Amino acid sequence: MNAPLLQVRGIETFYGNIMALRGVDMDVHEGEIVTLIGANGAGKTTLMMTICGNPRARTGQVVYDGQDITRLPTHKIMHLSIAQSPEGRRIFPRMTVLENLQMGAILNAERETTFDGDLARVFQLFPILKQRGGQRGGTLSGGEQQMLAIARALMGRPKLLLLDEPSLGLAPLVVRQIFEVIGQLNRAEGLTVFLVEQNAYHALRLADRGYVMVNGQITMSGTGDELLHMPEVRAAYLEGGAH
Amino acid sequence: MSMAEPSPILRVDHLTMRFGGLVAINDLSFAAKVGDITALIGPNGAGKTTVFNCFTGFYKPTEGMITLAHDNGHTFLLERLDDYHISSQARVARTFQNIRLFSGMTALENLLVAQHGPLMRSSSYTIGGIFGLSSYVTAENAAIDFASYWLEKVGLIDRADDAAGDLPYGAQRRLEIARAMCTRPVLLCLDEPAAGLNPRESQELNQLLLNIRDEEGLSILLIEHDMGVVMGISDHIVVLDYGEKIADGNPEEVRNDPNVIAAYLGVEEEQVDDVEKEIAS
Repeated sequence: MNAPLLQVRGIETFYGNIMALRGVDMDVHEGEIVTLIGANGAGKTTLMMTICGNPRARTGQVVYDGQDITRLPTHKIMHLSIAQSPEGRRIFPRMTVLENLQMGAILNAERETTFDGDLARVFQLFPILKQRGGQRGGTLSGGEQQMLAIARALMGRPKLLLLDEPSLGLAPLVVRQIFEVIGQLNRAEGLTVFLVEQNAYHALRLADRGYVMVNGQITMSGTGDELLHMPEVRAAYLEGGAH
Repeated sequence: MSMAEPSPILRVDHLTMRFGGLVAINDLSFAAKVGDITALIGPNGAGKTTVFNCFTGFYKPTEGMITLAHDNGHTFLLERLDDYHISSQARVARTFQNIRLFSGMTALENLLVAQHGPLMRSSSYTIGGIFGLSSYVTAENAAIDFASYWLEKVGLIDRADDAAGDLPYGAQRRLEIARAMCTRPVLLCLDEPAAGLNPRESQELNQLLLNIRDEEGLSILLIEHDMGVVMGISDHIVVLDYGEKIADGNPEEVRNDPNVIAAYLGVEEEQVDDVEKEIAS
């Protein structure tokens, strides 16, 4: 088997004196969808942000495509065809929807030739964004901003897509659409996806493999199916929810 | 008093909100009953948060009337009140979809800010506070006790002295609810309280909200996409699409309403499987 596209080894991340990640190991292979589930405050977002170099890991190593990116500044990491749709949307509120998407495309070296097609594609995925093209990002509803954040990440044509809670604040119908779209991009274009989700049911059904994080440590891993059927996982993250 | 239907705590009549040429809410009317959990659901961009912004004075509606009634019979026309009067006099509190805590303050301090009004009065507007008047000291201790009570209720008493911004997302959402409760509202408006919670945590939220309704005797308005929460605890659901009401009823009625299924819920995958089986057989 080839070396993983993304390799996380022994990562420890701190906020001041608080140790948020306690030696995390994780692999994401090319063409895989890998999900990370866990309770609020477990450290999922911290891991995703550490991969992007903000905050930086105190110890351990992040290797992407054979290159050690642990000490690389965030903007350089983003130019390695990694795109992120962050928690809390973080769109550019004063730019229009179209400008936000153009910003996403900056990370794509071949944007001259692919921009129009990519734009058509994200508009097909999220038709509401086309209607809102000239509107400032900050005037969109919460859910529309979430769609914009995902669309902006896709405009960079990443090899590795990092999604932090893509389903947050979206209508049930749209949540299903988004998970379908992620699956499609993965199957059709071989897009590698690392997905952090509270919606563990959807995430595990979609993912090839999953990791469970508790208090900054990985406690379980397995295929999506295996985790979905583990009693511990069911009790802690699945039960009681509307799927 | 007669045994007639309890009067609504909130009545919305012909509410319309336009932003330039964009009609965000179009002629919306509904009522929320005292002691009910009333949910407002609908597709993204349907105008749900805009409705909340009209209720809480963030926007002045273009047209329409929003009437809030206290149980002593006193009524307030919310569209005519300033936002701080909506909070202090009409006693409507809210949380925000994009969390707006004072992130540099501790969890406890956030809850003390929510009690700023009464604390100011008891300090005779600062002066008494400076001299450490005993009435102020008593009031301050009472405020801390009340804050602790709510920190306990939302399960954050252990994090009382941590900066609000350092709390995980789900905890920040619960802290916002506690902060709203510390203003001692009669109507609590929650904008997506379950966003970012896993199913287990959503269940705990359900318990908290039912407890607020039943034990604190509050009426709750709820915007939420988590159907486990909406269908699980709502007494009444209003569905919006493109700024207009497309359905209004109890969870059972709304769940089976074809318009709501088409615009919002979609067909569950399990149901699709069933349909496919039926077709195959």
